[in-house]
Amino acid sequence: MKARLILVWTLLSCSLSAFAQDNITDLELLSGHEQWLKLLHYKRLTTGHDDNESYVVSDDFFLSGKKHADPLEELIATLDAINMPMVAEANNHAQCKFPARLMFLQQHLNVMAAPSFTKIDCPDYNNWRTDAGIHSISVIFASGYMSNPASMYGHLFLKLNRNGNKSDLLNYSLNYGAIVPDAENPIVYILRGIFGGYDAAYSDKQFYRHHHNYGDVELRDMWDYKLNLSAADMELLVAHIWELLPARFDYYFIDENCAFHIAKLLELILPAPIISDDSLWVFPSSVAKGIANGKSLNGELLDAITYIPSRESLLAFHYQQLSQVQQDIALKLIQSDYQFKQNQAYLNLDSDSQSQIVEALFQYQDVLKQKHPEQSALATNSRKLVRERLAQPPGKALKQNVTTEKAPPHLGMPPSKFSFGGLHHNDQDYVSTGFRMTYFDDLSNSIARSKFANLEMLDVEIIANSTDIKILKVDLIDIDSLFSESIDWSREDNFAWSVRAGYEQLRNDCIDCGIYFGEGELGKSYAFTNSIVYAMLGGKVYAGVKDDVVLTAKLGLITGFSVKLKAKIEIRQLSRVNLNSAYDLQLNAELNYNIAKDWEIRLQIQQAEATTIGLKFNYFWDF
Amino acid sequence: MKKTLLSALMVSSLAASALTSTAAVSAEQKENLNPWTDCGIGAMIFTENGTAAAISNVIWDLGTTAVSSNVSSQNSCGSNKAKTAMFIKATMPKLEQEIATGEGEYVTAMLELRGCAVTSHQGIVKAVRQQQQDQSSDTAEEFYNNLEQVVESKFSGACASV
Repeated sequence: MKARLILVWTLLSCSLSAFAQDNITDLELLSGHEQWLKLLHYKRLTTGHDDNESYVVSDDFFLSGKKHADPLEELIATLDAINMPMVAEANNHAQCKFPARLMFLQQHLNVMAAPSFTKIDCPDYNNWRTDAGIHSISVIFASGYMSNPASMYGHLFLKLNRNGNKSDLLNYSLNYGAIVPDAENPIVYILRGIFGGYDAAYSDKQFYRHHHNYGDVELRDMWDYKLNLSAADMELLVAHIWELLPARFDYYFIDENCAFHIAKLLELILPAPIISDDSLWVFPSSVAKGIANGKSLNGELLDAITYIPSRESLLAFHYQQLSQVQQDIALKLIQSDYQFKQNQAYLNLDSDSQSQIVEALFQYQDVLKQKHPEQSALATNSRKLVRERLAQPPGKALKQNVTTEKAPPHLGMPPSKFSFGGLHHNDQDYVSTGFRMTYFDDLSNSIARSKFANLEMLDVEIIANSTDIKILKVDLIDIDSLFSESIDWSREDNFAWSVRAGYEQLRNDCIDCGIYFGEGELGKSYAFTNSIVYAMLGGKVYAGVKDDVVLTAKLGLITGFSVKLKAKIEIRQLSRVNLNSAYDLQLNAELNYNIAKDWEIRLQIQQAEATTIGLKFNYFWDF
Repeated sequence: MKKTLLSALMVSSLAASALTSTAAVSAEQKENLNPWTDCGIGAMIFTENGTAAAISNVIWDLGTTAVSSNVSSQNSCGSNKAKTAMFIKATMPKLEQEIATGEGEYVTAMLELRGCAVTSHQGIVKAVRQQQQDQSSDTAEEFYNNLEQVVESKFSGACASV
């Protein structure tokens, strides 16, 4: 095969218009090569059909000039282009713009051996490769960011690691995301993000931009999944990254997002997909799982995992290194706006102990500053800390190598859920079944998840008996963010909050009393050992069998008896806005046990006008 | 994102205008470069606590797409000095703390970006630390100027000249 292809290429290089049908057949075989189809980012990695749609939407990416080019047409156009003589601007030559295609064609056709082939020197590409100096590749997982719905599931990007002892922060990284216009309307932004309308692209930045932004500003932990790739595979992948930098894609938040396109990029050099091509939705954690379980031509795809703590995690780690006396002194310093000279207990400490306090306070002060950037006093306090530390001897006084009990994201429960069970509802027995698209709830196994957070989207529960089938509820969104303080230095301005919207039954005594609702609550939460209590006030708007606007107040407790056994109890009072009448007190109690990997059993008792008792099995899955 | 894109566009525009106005940037021009004014870093919409970066990046976890790292490599604003200035501007609070502490990964990265030999790092940090103690520098630009003063006066042989 290879010998014939070389012959074909030789003929082609002499006269592209004169090749025979037999030669076309051989090139057609090569054009169906999975790696060629991956280089072109075709949606379907097979040939013989009319649907040649690529994820890439920019015209310049296709040398045949057609977005939906036939793979063979594009192959011939590429052969033609790389064989073109030197152009005025070498960087615009196909060899310079598409080095990975050239590598592929060299491997299969030995194109450089053709008499008409001239190797073009590519200054921009060569400079980029020299500067990047890539020695290995990592996938970085930035953990979820509860302050922004679009970031709650985390984020993925690549880090292109240089050789030797060079600073990790200066390594190149490759990010994928939507290109959003300036001053975009938030509603348009959400709609276009979900339903399409934004272009997307890869961009290369030095890693410090992301390290600082995710870790220090957004306070998100990161995980470095270093890949085990052969030198040849890495060469091809890096060359293809260069090809992709000018390319544009369509952006879809649910499926064609950062996680999807990082996975598809890696799959160029992998023997099997790390996520399914048929995924209806793609989460970064699913790709992390695919990487952890994946294979490369070198063996296991995953080489090593490194934890990169956020500023907030560093704060907890530094705080733990202080003695109780130091923690108390630090608290006094915080309360006095860092009047070091007036704190005798601080002045009595040796300089090393003082340095330890200041270094821990650096973290504390910066966490505070990121959460409250509007408070100018915080900047003044930061300057006081810097001045104090400058006056002390140099050298880190606290340990920096953070040890963590946190698990990497690929070890978390799969995001999607099927459930089935039974329900006793208003003196009737039903079977129940349910589906949740994503992501985790506050009673499930919290490995690699926020311990007391609830983030569920599209959660449907249906009940049926011999006569009826009813939709009991549809939660479009159900988010609880309970703040659990990891240190004793008071930060009174941290709030717990919850948001929920969807369809549900107004009362438990009626299954035909559906309402469409939206609600939000704000309050405080306090964590102790393995439990957290919370109290919140808010409002609820609903329409359906009855229309109303009500005030809400709730008090709850979530406790973990063990990693696998958790319980929650919550009472809730609804009242008319003018407070002249109140609805019955509502009670919700749940007990959850993680019976096996990806399985749990849950007992739920709800009291709202009438009592509902349900027992169900939940099975968690992923694409 | 929005502000970073804007910033990136501004930097790109300035870089582009620099390219069109001069076919080649002389070594002298590079040596006398003031990145804050010549490369528009002073106009970049980064606040020094990184707030703009936070605003920019929450949109679909985007990061930025406007400027590839190779874009500015052909002009004076792709020099070690300019890259160092941008690094300082983007990471100032952390950098300042690490200088105060006397070591850290951001300090190491900054000096590598500045083109300073590893053997000179400890001495530079010590001198900058002293400079920071003697002379208050409340902004990224002042911090950059302090660093440059130290490099030029005591470590010019150990660091890149542009």
